[in-house]
Amino acid sequence: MLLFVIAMSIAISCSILGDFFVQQGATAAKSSTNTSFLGRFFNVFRHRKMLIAVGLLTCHFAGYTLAMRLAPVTVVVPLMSCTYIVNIFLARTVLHEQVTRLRWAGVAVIVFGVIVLGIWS
Amino acid sequence: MPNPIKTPLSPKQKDQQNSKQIPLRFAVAMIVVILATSLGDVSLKGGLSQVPLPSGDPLLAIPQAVLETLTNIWVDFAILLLISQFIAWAHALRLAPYSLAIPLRASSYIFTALLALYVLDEPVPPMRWVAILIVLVGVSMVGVSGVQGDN
Repeated sequence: MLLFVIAMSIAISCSILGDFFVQQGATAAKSSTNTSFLGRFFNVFRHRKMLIAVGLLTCHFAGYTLAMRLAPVTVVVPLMSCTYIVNIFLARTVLHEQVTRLRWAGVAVIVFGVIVLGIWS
Repeated sequence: MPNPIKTPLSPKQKDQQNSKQIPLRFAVAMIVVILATSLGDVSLKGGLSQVPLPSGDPLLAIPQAVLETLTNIWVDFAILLLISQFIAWAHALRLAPYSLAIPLRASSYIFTALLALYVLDEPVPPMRWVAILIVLVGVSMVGVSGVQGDN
């Protein structure tokens, strides 16, 4: 049980930070003047933030893989959805995105679904 | 008689054309993300369940377990799918707001549950289906907020 909690904690925290750095890296790459598909593809991986994202998502993958060994896939995968709340807060506070009431309500419903799933599992 | 010579588009017209294509490109990227995530998760679980847990001397057992994991065809397939998912995900995040793309990814749960049921023969109790449906309702609400164009 303790090992599962540690694995899920690594998977969740690295997923949140990894996704955030992917967004940052992809946005930085968007401003590139390179127009060819391959040029844009490799340009994405030249950005430091994207490399950090790859490192974090690799750690997420390791934690996630371990969690998958310890619990059914239908428990591990939906538990990961608690990352959505933190990500929405990051979008609102760090990226200054407009998050409407409907979108907040949608995220709240997702979280409620996850809680139902967690209690039942 | 129509003029066969096409006039080149002005930068403003090109921007308008590109902005019209963004929802379609975002939808395609998200479909790839969702399908690759579900298939990747199930392949990973299926592959890992074929690899025995390490036992005995950790110095020998752990590297052997890592080697066996990485040489498993289903784990390799899962890694390939997860790389595809990463590329499509980076593309999707470039096209839409972060607060829209992130919750939409939760729709992969329904496909994961279906694949777990039919491919892995994992039991999915009725209450778990109810929970997954609640998650889907939340995803739909986020999707509607995106269609309304609040950003």
